Amino acid sequence: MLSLSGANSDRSMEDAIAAYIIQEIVAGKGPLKLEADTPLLASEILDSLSLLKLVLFLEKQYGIAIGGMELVPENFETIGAICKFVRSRLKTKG
Amino acid sequence: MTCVGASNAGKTAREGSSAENNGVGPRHPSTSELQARTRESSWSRLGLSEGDVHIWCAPLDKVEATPFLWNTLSQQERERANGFLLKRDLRRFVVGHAYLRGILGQYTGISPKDIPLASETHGKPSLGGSWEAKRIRFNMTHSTGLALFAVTLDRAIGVDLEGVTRTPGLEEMAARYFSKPERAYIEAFRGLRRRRAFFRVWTRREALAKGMGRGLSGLLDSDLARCDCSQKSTRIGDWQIEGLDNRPGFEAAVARNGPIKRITPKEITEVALLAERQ
Repeated sequence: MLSLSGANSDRSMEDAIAAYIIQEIVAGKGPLKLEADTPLLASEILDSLSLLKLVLFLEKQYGIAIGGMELVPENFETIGAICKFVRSRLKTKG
Repeated sequence: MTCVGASNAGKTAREGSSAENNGVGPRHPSTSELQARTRESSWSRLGLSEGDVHIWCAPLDKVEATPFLWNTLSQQERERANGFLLKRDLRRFVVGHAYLRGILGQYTGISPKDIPLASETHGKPSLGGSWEAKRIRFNMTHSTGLALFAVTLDRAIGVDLEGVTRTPGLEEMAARYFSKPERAYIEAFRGLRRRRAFFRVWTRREALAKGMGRGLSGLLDSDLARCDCSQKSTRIGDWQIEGLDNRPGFEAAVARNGPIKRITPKEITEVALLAERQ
């Protein structure tokens, strides 16, 4: 599990999630650059299947468990939102 | 009952004739009566009655997103289209939503560009406008260039389609999200058949989730795990879930919040459907 503190850790989490989405979900369907505020749900980069695949990655990568009630657009709309959500879950985890 | 709206429309016209005409000479129907008759004929012509589900199938990659299709969309839909990151996704969205409007126009007698699309709490698309229009319930799905549109009367409906593509990590997903009986169903198959079985389970769950309209948080609802995929048809509470005889390389399912009497496939050919409404 990663140690997360400071801007570098934030950046590495963003990069890791962006890399996962591009390699495992977009997977060569087109040229794409994902920023922290790129819409993922509205642009259908993430659909329900790929969202649950991403959840598995986050659970494994950051050692957290994500429940159904946490699957809301506010937590997954952008990479920035996902990082914020994961960080909040890591804090709760202590 | 074939159609409540249709019988009501007929009654209104007959009662109006008696009250306003006093038996002297022919009477011209009012505009609202004509509109009601148009809707009646739209439903009847398409053969949609209670318990029916119509499944429209449309290829999204054989049509260009022409200005004509673009102009069929609402301002909100155009803004959403402009938010797509991949050109291919933008085109599929424009073509898919133009088809959706064309299909709904067939049932409502409303011009495709004037179809009053609305959203439920978690963003599930629905029809706004008059109560007659709201009786038409629909849902759409698309995957790898193919779209399905499910239409029924009065009851919530959900449809899902998935291309049975080579997707790494399916077994891990089944282990994390599916119930023991669902996993046992999948594990009874090998190779490509196992992949198909995964998507058979997935599309039934997803059709039900979409029908219920609970949004993303509904994806892990325990009710979804109760589909019996070894049967083509299964009931969960008030919901009936049916596997659809779909195209090679795809799995699909539809869920209706009420009995399904008949599923009728409808085929869209080119853009004739849209042109017809002009």
